[in-house]
Amino acid sequence: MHLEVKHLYKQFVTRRGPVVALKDINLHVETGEFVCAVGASGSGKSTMLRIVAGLEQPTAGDVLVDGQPVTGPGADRGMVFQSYTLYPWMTVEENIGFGLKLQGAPIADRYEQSRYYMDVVGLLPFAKALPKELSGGMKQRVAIARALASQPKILLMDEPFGALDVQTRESMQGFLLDLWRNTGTTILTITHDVEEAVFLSQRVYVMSARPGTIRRELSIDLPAERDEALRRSSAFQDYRYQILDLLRQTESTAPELTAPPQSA
Amino acid sequence: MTSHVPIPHNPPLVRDPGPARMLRPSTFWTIADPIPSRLSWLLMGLSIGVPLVLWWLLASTGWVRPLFLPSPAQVVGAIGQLWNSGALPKDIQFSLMRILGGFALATVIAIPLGTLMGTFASIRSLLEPIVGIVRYMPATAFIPLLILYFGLGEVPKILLVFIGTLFFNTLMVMDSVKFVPKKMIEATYTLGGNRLQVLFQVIFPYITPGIIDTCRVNMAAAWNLVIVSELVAATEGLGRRISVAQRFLKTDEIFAGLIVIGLIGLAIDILFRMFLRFSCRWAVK
Ligand SMILES: Nc1ncnc2c1ncn2[C@@H]1O[C@H](COP(=O)(O)OP(=O)(O)O)[C@@H](O)[C@H]1O
Ligand SMILES: [Mg+2]
Repeated sequence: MHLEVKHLYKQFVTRRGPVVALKDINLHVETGEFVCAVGASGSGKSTMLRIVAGLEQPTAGDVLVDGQPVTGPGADRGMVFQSYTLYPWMTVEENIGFGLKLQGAPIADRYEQSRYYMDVVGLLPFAKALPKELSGGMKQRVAIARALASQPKILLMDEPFGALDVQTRESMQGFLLDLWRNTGTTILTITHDVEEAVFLSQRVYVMSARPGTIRRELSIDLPAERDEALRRSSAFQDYRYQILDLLRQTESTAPELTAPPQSA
Repeated sequence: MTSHVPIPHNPPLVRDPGPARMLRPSTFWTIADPIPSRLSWLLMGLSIGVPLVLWWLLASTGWVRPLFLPSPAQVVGAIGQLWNSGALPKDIQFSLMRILGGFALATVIAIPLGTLMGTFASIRSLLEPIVGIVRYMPATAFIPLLILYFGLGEVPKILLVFIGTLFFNTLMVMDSVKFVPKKMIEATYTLGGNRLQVLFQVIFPYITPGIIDTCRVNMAAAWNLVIVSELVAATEGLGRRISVAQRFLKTDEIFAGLIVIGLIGLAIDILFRMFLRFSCRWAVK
């Protein structure tokens, strides 16, 4: 697996004129990596991820997966959104098996696969539950399992834990790291949470807004085994402050907020 | 950060807030929350009971002439008599057949049409203007044409119900597609789904409860239309029964017809609600 984003530009045409959401984005993700893009809201993170997923077309530039240009969404790039995407009429088991169903897999395979991934995310006892019966963290685990069950080359996540409370978020981060280590999945996550980015990633892209650009690429050289104690280590905090400083700099160098036009 | 805008001191005091005012608790006027179920049943009983008692009082005091307002007992008597003579079952049968025929036809067309219009902006642009215009033409205004084309049999009556419910059903089904979260559709694409699968396996199941509810609401319109069509030309049916009773000044039979229509309507409403609960467990709170 090799994801490459080259000279990506995205301009939205709005009623108030064109908005440059992304300017010359270059990044790559290799097999088995866990990479985060971190930036303030409005820095174009979602737009970038949606273009990689094929849900949005770039104004210019290329997205290549194993050298093949991305022209639309496909099962090779699984996606986990922040919320609202589980099928409410399907049980946990049916939700997780749905990707394989769409791809025409026989029912026995679907059963086996969804059992396996329910086990991976610890939801076997909830196989027959409906999404409305699950907590927020459990719903996101189903969404992750559903994306993984389609066996994507890369898992894309848009602020997957953004709607969760702090305790749940931290335990989900630990869960996601375990999952990544045990399944060898390649993951590209975007987040505005600096601590989350440092905790999860091997590499981080720091993004700045107006227009959305990549400010810096950082390797996070922390041990592969990461636990809650690591969050308090000085190495962890150094990375955190380094990124926070970068984000702060980009904010102060961004053009000043302009006053609204005076009405005549 | 150096770009802080200085914040001015001392916000202006517009008005002395005085002692803190708080919202008083209330059971009856609770907004957005259920009321206790005992209160709910009590109020529902009153909803039927109060009009019934008022009716009975008005009729028994003789304020209103019995010709205009028969007593509840007289109406119950009229229902019993019409039932025993076999006239009422036959009327019900004919009216129901016309309603169900016209409404089923309208629904069978409205579901795919509305779903397609809701799903594809192209189909919507293609059909919304014409549906929007025809919808505003009162269905009853089509009666002369229907009689002209199809005579006085069952066909024009069924078609009247059909015309009168098709467009509302279509537009309401179309509207329910709006509530399918866009991200749910996009998630389906990233699971390898194509557009046809999104339509049949995501959008359609998602709007099924909405469709059932649409049918339930629009059923009332179907009753309206069938009664009107029978007032114009019919030899049997509940509407026909009412217009005959009027000619002979049998107000008790008019009331009987109205009450039977109300009860059957209520029964159909309850059936739809039960069907919704039964078929879409996930959508029921
Ligand atoms: N569909 C759209 N139409 C117009 N502008 C958009 C659209 N999507 C995003 N934008 C704009 O692009 C910029 C980046 O948005 P987004 O990618 O959502 O950032 P982030 O996910 O980092 O918060 C924002 O200024 C936003 O207003
Ligand atoms: Mg975003």
